[in-house]
Amino acid sequence: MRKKFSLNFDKYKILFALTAAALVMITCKPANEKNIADNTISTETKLVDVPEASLPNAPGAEAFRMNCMICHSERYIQMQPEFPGKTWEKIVDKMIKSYGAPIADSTSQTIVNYLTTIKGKN
Amino acid sequence: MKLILYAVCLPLLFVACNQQVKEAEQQPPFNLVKDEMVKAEGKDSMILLTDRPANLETPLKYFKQDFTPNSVFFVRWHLSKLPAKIDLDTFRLRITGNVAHELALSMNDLKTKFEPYSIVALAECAGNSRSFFDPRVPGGQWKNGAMGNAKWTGVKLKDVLESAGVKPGTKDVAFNGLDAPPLATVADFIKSLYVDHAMDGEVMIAYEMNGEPLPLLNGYPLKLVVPGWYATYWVGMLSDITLYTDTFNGFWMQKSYLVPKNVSNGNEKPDSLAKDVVPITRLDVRSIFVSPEPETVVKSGQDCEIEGLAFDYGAGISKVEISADSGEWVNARLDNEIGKYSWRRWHYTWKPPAPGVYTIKVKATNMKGETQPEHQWNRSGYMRNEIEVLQLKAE
Repeated sequence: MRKKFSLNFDKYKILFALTAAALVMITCKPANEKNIADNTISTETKLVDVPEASLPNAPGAEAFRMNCMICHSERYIQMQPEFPGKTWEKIVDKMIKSYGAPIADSTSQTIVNYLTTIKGKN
Repeated sequence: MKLILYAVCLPLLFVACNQQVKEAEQQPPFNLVKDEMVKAEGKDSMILLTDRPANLETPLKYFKQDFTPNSVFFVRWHLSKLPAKIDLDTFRLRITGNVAHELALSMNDLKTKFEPYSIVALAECAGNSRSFFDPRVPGGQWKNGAMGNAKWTGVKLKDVLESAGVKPGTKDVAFNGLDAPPLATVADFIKSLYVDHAMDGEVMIAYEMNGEPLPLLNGYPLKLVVPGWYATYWVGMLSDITLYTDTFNGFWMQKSYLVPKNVSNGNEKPDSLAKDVVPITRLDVRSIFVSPEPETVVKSGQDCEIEGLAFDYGAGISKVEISADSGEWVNARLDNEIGKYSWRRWHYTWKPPAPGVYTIKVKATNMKGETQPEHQWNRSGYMRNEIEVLQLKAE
């Protein structure tokens, strides 16, 4: 993307400046959303400096990241054994009721589905 | 001018964006079991459970040493807001609540106004070995490395509380550290002890472990040490002690770290969960293998030195027995006791009679005759002390 841009830079610099701005807004949207969660933990310092683990992309991944990563790193889920959907339901319910996770009822099922997809078993 | 602006800003924007793209493209493989090692702030290479908050396990090889080095002593935090630095000039330990006079003690106060006190004690996480429960349970998936033995130096909690003047009617003493929740709805991590326990002259506030200040990740500058009790009570970065005339009602005492009531070894069954649950307390009797490590191949017809560790809540280990290949239980040799709250090392010389795969079991018994169960399970994966099994292949 950058290469194409630089080739045409002289001719269409203003057009590209605008496109670039738009691209930044679109492409970086997930990053901005992530930052919303990060801001709630802004005073935290990373004492264990490891690259962010990455959970598989599946439906519900974004809902998981937005809601669960306020308290947990992705590694916490990566470390968990596989559980039946019912168990994941109980776990997510506990996070809402006992720890006040700000998860809407509709989103809660999305997160359960995601966890069951990546860490589920019968 | 404009051009310079574009030349500088646009590539920056694109670099920022490309990084996002790169991240998406370069998803690391999703690995479930392989140990990931990490060197955290002030620590040597340890097994990474989670990075935020830090939860790090001690590799088994370090248990060959009677005192677990501070640099690899296990790390367990619940809440992700941890200070990265603590300034001793301004740090104070506050004693408040049902006391004659509230105190705010500096590190210097603790070191100069109170008699120093030392004790050797094993810190074992309540969830140590959780990953071995069958069926599996959610939570930190520790192997046997969520524990460590250290010589703790500091002051007796009793001396500090007496200096504040414990007022009559005190029931619970609560302990809070500088760690904080990332969400306002998550309860701050506060633990409590009955006042009689807090005043027993053994519970202490440590400013040193193994002769050095505590590593930040192990609770610098002060850690509550509750000998014989699970490490969930050993509050790190201890900053506030509050005396209550009533039962302390905090979440981490009333809703978490609960085990079935009146059931030894915290045992229950998946299909009939215990109805009555109570806060976890002291360590059950337990023994583990340290060496050889699992999957080691040994030589048939030759002596194989097996060693491990045994411990309990302070009654003292009376014997450790080994059963090789479903054979009779025979006594292992015990090293000298280091202290009643320390672990105690055992040795057993075993000669595999022929090539094959062997199952070795270890079982400890304490001075009160308490021993380990053949099988154990509870929903939260606490207090694991099931008889350990080591499989060795002889060639």
